[in-house]
Amino acid sequence: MKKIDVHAHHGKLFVANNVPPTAEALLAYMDKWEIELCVLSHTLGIFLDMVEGNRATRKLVEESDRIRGYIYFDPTKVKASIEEIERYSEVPGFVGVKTRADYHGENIDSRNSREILKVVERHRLPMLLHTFSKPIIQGACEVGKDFNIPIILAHMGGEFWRECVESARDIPNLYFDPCSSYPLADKIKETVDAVGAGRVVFGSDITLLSPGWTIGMIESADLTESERRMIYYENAKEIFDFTDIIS
Amino acid sequence: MEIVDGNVLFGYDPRSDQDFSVDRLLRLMGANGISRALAVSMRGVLYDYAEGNAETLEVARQHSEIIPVATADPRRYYRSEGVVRRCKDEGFKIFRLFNKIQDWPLEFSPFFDILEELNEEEMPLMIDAWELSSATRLSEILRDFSPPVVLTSARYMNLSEVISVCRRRPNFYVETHELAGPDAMEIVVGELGADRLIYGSMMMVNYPLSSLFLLKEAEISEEDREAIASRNILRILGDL
Repeated sequence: MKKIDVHAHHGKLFVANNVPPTAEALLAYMDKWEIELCVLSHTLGIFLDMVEGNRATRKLVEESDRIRGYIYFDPTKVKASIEEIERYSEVPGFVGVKTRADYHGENIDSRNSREILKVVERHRLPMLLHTFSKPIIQGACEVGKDFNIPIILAHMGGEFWRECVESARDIPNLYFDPCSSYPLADKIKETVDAVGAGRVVFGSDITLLSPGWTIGMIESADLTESERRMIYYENAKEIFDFTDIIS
Repeated sequence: MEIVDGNVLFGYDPRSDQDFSVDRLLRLMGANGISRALAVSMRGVLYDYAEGNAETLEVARQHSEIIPVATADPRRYYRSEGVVRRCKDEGFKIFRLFNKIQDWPLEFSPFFDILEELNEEEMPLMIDAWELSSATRLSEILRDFSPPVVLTSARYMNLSEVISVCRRRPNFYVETHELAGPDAMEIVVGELGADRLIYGSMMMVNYPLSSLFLLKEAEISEEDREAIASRNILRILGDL
């Protein structure tokens, strides 16, 4: 079944991983796991330099129409983040924003983050948010209520995934990306039962994790073909308005 | 290709709404092409290891697909009980300790007592090396331990550490249930050789297909894949 991967990365990693940082290597993995299109952020932007990372993302986006980009922002650098969003939001291939706010020591509902989210909302950009703790779950819920943007909760709070589902279930613009290095056997089915398949999206965290890991979770869960199609493809197509993709 | 799952739990898990029964385990194994599984009762992990070991043994007696794995909890273990000797006499061929789930530290004297007993009885050990530095500490703690040691919970964060430790300790093995990296299996095969990897899923806590997809799709030779899928663990168990 074809897929849109809403949670991809490119660039070097600080862990044991020998995947070459090239578009060819990424596209080979996408082919292997039937991923038609991915949306990625560059690890250079996440771990070192936001501006350099977004520049690297632009190069990748220009290399292949199967690769779309997130504009990475750092909530501790409000002015520079807003400049990055203004710079890239009109560049073809950039379709959303991504932040790992807690890595920078901020929550997503901080004063700084909210200043940036006003600009994100004005440009109508979906956000992929690294969500791996209870404070970030709560922050995401607060801004989800206050800003009219789709927010994808990457990792669904990690070990706090049940709290994530419970806290976010009544906020319709919050979506759940279940990828994680521990493929807990309740996660997908419980989430779909709680919020419906229309709020769950496929993210792989490639090149940190193999797409096969999350695909294995989805295929192991007791879902209908229609539910899997929504998770793998249809929901992302709608969130990002990928009308240029022939379904 | 025969697949033996080296890391399976059954029974009842209070943290989950899933059916953890043996019947479901056997169905999952059948559906996923897993012919045998090394299994531990959750009763032994979360409640009482003597009761749990008895349950595991009984399930293995009823179902030839189940290879029984013994456990003990160092938080209530006394050396004088001779738990390992008794388990060996009952037919167990490997011990699994749950330092991650039971949340006890590796520098823990009752754990050292269990290790002494395991070493004396030449009983292989499976143990979690989840946190950074766990594998390094186990390498030191198990310096004079001669039976095979299977490190579970090797993952992207500690993979280079686990590889380094296994290079120093030829009796150490790597289990796969958290090896989620796109080329993690290939890296371990390249660095240590395929005979040091043991397939495990941590079913039924985990979905089985994640680890299974990575085993089946790894870019390694079929001979290496077969070694990881079953041959290595069966060799550790004495070629059951």
